[in-house]
Amino acid sequence: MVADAGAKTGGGLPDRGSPDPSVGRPDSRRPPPHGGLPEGHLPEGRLPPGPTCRVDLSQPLEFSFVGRPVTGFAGDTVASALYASGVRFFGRSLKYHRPRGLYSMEGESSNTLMAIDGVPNECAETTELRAGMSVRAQNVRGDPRTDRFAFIDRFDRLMPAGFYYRLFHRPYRLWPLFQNGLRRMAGTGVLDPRRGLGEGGRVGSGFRAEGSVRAEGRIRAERYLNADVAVIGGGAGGMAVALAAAKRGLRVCLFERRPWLGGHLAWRVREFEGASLSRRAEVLAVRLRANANVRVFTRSPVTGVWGENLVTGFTSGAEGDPFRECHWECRAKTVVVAAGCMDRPLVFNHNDRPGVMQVGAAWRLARVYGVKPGKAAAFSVGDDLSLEAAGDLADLGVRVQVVADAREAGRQDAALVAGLGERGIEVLPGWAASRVTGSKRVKGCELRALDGEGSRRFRCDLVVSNAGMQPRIGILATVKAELAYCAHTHSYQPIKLPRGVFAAGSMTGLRDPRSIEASGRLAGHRAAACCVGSAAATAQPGRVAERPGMPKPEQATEPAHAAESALRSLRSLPAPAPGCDIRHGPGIGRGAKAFVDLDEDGTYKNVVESAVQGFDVPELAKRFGGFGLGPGQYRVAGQNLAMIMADLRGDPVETATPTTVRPPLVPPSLATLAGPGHNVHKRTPLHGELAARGALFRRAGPWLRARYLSEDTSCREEILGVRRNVGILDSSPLGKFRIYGPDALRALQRVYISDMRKARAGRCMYSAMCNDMGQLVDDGVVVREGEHDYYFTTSSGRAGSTVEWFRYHTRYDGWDYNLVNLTDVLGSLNIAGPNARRVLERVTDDDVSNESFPYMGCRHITVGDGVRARCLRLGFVGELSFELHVPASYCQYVWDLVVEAGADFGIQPFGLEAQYCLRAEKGHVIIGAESEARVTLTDIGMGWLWDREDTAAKKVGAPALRACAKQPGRMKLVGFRVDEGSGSPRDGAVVVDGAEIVGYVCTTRRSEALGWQYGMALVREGVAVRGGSIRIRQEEAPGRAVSCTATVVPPPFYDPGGKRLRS
Amino acid sequence: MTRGPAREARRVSSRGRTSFRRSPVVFDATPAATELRDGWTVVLRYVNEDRHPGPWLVDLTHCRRWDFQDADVETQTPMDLPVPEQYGQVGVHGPLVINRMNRTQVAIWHLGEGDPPSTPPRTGFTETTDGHGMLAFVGPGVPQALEHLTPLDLFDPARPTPFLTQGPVLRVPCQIVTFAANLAVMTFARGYGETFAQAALKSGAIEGLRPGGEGSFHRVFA
Repeated sequence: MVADAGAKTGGGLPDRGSPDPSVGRPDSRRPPPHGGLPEGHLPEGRLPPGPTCRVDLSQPLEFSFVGRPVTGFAGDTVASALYASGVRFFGRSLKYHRPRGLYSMEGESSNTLMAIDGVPNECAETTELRAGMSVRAQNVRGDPRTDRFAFIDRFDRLMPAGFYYRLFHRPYRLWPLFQNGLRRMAGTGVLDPRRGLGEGGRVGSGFRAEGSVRAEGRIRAERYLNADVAVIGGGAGGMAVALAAAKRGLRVCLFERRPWLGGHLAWRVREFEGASLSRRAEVLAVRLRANANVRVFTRSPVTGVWGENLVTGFTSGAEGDPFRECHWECRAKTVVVAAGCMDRPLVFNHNDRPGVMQVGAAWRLARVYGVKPGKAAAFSVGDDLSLEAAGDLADLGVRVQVVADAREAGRQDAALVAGLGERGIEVLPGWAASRVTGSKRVKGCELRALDGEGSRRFRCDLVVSNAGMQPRIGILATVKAELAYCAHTHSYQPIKLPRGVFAAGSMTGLRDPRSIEASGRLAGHRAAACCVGSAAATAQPGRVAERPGMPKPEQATEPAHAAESALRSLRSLPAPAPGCDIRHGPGIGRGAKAFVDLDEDGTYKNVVESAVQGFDVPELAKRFGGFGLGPGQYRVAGQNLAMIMADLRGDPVETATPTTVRPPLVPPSLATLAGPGHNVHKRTPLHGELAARGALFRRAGPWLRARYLSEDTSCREEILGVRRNVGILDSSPLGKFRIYGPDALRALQRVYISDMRKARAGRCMYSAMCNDMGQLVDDGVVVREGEHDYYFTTSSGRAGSTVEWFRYHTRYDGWDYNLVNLTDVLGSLNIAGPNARRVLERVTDDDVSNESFPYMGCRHITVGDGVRARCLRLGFVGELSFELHVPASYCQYVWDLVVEAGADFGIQPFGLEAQYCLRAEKGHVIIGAESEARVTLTDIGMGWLWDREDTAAKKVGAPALRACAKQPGRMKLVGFRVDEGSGSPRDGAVVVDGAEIVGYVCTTRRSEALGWQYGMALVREGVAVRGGSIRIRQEEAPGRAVSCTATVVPPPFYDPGGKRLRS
Repeated sequence: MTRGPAREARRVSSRGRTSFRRSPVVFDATPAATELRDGWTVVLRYVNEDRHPGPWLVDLTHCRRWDFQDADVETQTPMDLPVPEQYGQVGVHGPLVINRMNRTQVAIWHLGEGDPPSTPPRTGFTETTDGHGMLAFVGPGVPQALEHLTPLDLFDPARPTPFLTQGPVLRVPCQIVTFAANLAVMTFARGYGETFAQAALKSGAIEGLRPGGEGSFHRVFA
């Protein structure tokens, strides 16, 4: 569920946060005491639910794992439920097929990517459990416990770093064999195409959300948010940011990847200033949700931050949400990154064995999910938080045998060390894990002193490890923050942030809860100062600044003062704690099974191999050895790789930089990224009518147009209907415009190539527009309707850009004219054919005779019961025709009248394809069909439109036309008649002169009216002369070309004298 | 004038039809009350409309609209309405709404109840009623519903209502007037009407958006 704020209703803005009952639902799902079960009735593998437990043991959920029934509980993730039920092997590794188990409980590696409900690569650690789920392991042959490919692990020497680029390439002809084999073996997850049914049942429109069984009926959603401050991270720092910014009246959106707020405080029960830390987090969360200016989005990982502070991410739908994932984009004035920190993995031998997990994973398993992570544990850690975790897990019943701390003695929190001592737990400062024993899962652990003075072995089934903490730098990396190694915290810290971006919380190295909150407040005030400062800076006297709600310049200083105060407060609190600089565990030898990168099976030995072969910086090693290429990106491999590489090169660690992190930081499904896929397009006012008549529609620009009126794509009946009787065409997408004003004629003179002063009232003047290169870009008719008032039409495809075209080409002239796009205002019906007038006469009282309404005339007539229509007598299809332009809402009414009036004649609707053929018979050009980038207006035989005398108007394209007028060797449009019996060329066939291609066929059709096949071709000048022959060549099948001959004849082919138009 | 044989058979007429005009917006809902107005069949209320809290999507395509342009538009008073001083500002004068679009252009909408004025016989006016689809988003949850449709900041608290925004909704160029947190009205090219309304309802369904009659709009607009 999106923990989202609702809007206040009624009158006033703003939509700001909340009293939405949905807010806080995740936390409100906190289970009852004892997890809803009587004491003493705990399911196996479960701990007594504590105050921070999110699992409701009174709500069991049945699901299956590799076909076996398993029971989990509401609030579980798939991984926690499986772990509680005894599952330790979640999958197998990419290269070596080593068994893999829980590692981070945060999806930081590919260890627990599983196929859930048939959808591969779902992260079991973060996927919330639902009843009926079907879960399968990935990259496994057979059972994950006894994978048939497990033997590969013994042949790791055959797969050194970069082996894919170096081995199996000789002899090269065998490489495809190896390549295919390797790819088959290395795949993670298999897509089931049968589940690829998206909305509407279209195959391939999405494989994840709509395809999965549990996602049935859910929609794909997207959401666009606007905020003053976007806060990434809902921990104590992030919440403090939000509260501070909201206090300034700013709109705040807070995004938290987990279902709850509080960050690492949410599961910590340590007492601090009189209350537990989890309670402290709850208090902050309550204050946050009570703030109307803050909108909280949980289950909402951020995928990246882009230019102009655009934050993107997605929200995973909870049970009951109508969507499975909702992609969102938040445009914010400022962004505060408070993403927290995470365990830096400790590299030691067999550190990938099931049973080895990070401190946070073990702790969350116990405290959040009520699952006992192990019976006996050994800790090898490097920070105080881990010492607190060790004590806490011991309190929960885990037998913690030893805590090795890689930091030297004296750097630990004394109280925590003392607490461990009171629990009987031995602490070994300056020690770390060297290796894990156990062939499939952890059975013991060997610890060594970092100075080489001793080693000890412990029997355990759980090794909890880290090398200290590292900040989650991914978001900062996507926002292009400059990062540098900090020798104090031994982590990468931002040293330069883009304008409007701030960092806060534990990711800055702070560990004290008070400091974390104070840093949040500081960032919140700084963000507010940035917002207010920007608004004040852009305020113009008398304009924006006068708006209510906008700051006046003097107000801009208030948040700045607050920020100064917050900074002073922060400086009085504990500073960032010193970190741990351990690179890897002691005594790992060659490190052949000490994993730096779990996703790609990249070991310490592989890092050394990369360095030896010259790939000795992280970015090169990433490409060569695959470190960080997996789903976890930097999270497991990043900092360790950089530090180890620096060591191998002998450089100071400060010189090393981690590999580039790229979005998406957390992968949404492709279906989510694809969005709802709305097919929003334009339909004519007669779409429904034509659909009812069985029309076949095709997209033409934004329009969906009736291309055919029957299954016969030759449109024979439609064409003959127009030629012999009368037809009616829906030509509504035709561009229609009004231009008026004192300088309207000057604008027309500029963009049209003809002398537009000749446009007269009641007469259609045909003309064309060219671009600066003299190419035909548009044509249509212009009618003068009054003084400085004209009506003109354009081609359908250009209607959307005509206004901009006029404005662009008159932009320096300061002319006074106005344009109105009437394309959608007026529908258009074209009644064409010898009986067109007789039909029209039945629907109007106006005189439409040839004498009073001649060819190229334009009249305003009244149709039916008073519908005013502009009627243009044109001849695009080569027959007597009347184009009725009527208000769009009347279109259906007028259509019905005309069809009824023409019923006696057998009037027949025709579509675009029929119109295309009819006009081609007449030799009329369609832009793009018979014109292209290499030909000018004169090349296609329309030079007669060009007013060559007028240079004062600076007609667009005239200089180019002048330059090309006598240029030899240009392409020219010619008509041809295919010689009977020689073949039947198609559009696009090439015209050849011997072996040389000299042109191509633009359009060719067989005419029922003519009885022969005609066409138009663009050919090199001089090749085609009237009455001469051209050879046309086309491929009938791959590699098999046929030729035919045609005779050059000038268009128009049909009714060359134009008698039918004028009849 | 030609008077052929068909002339006698002429006068194909409406044959008693009174509903001549069609909106491009079609809702998959059953009208409970309709009214015939200027050739349009206007849905006042849909069946079970009152059982839901909203928000509602209301088809206002039948409302009359005009485009008015002039090089000195600021000095003009089209339909006796003062032209808003700044781009993006909106004036509400009884049933008429006037939107300042740019340097030379305003749009005038008749949204109130009662008969709309006729088009003044001035050069600058062009009636554009038939050129647009017009939809109103009415009721609680309108901002949330619109968040699923557009990246535009239609509810920026720094802008005094009502205000005009021109930009994409569902990737279609629109003119949107935000009247309040529970009312926004938008126009778009008429051709998009059918598919736009379908997509809006589909995306807005997450927030409970459903078809509403004109009555829902007037209750809020009034």
